[in-house]
Amino acid sequence: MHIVSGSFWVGAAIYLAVLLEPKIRSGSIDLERQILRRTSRLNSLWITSAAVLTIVSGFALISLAPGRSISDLGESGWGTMILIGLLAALAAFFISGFAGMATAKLRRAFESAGDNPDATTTPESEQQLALFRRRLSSLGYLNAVLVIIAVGTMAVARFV
Amino acid sequence: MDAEIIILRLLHIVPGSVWVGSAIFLAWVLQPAIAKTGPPHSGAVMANMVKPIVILLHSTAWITMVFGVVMAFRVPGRQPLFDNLWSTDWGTMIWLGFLFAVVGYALGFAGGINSKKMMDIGKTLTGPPTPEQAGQMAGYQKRAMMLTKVASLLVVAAVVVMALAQHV
Repeated sequence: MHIVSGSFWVGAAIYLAVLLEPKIRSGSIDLERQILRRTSRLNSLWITSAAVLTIVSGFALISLAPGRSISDLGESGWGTMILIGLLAALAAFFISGFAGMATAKLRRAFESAGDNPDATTTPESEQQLALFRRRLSSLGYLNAVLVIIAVGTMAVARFV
Repeated sequence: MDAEIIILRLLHIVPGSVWVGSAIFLAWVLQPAIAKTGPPHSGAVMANMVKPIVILLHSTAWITMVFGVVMAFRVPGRQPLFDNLWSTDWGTMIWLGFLFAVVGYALGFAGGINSKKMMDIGKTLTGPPTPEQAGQMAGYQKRAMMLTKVASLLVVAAVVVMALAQHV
């Protein structure tokens, strides 16, 4: 459970941040709106579920692993690596939450613009949209880096 | 600290996670969502996305498999590899995982070929597709989606058996 859900979390986070979102943002606003409408809720649901499953099963794994316990975190080489991985994973989880909120705002901005096709776009609304998109990109990249740190430190913990 | 194993594990596990996660995300989340969006948006996304997807999936798959094989020859306590591979439960799980990974990669590759064929028909269109072209495109899309789903399940199976190998 820990490894499969963790793999999905890592892969999806990197896929979204490095590949899908930059490509969609380089296309038309209409395309971005359609894709966001179709995928943003699904993405949040799948990725958040995978993250929760990974973190919870990770704690269970530490508790159940022979000769290891939660109190070992930060103590030995193994404990230090697992602690770094855990902190990176938790940070990624919260950042992914912020990214989800920013995506929801962007989707609502698109939906309100779509409901009112006669509305003219003001420089302020364009600026706000650009700000959301920039924030989303930064959060996505940060999230991708953090999940790579988490998986890397945990993968080598036994050998440190 | 075993620096060689640490480096090999990083080069095997990090790209492996990206490969598996991307494959699941593509097969079960993105492709169905794009198919529901329908033309012209689905075509625009796919035209933009196919090349980077191919680069990401192929490169992560190859790095994972190559460093996995190298690591198998270096795992302490499991040498000589070929003796352990056929005579221990660990070995059975490892070659089974390798087999799942290779078949999953091949099926994903076949799915990519079908997506490309669908896009090639799309590129030749100057107006709405004829019923025959639409039928061909739908056939390629359906086959590509099915193949990528099976491929993603196989790479998940590969991860599962390899993760369990040391505990059986």
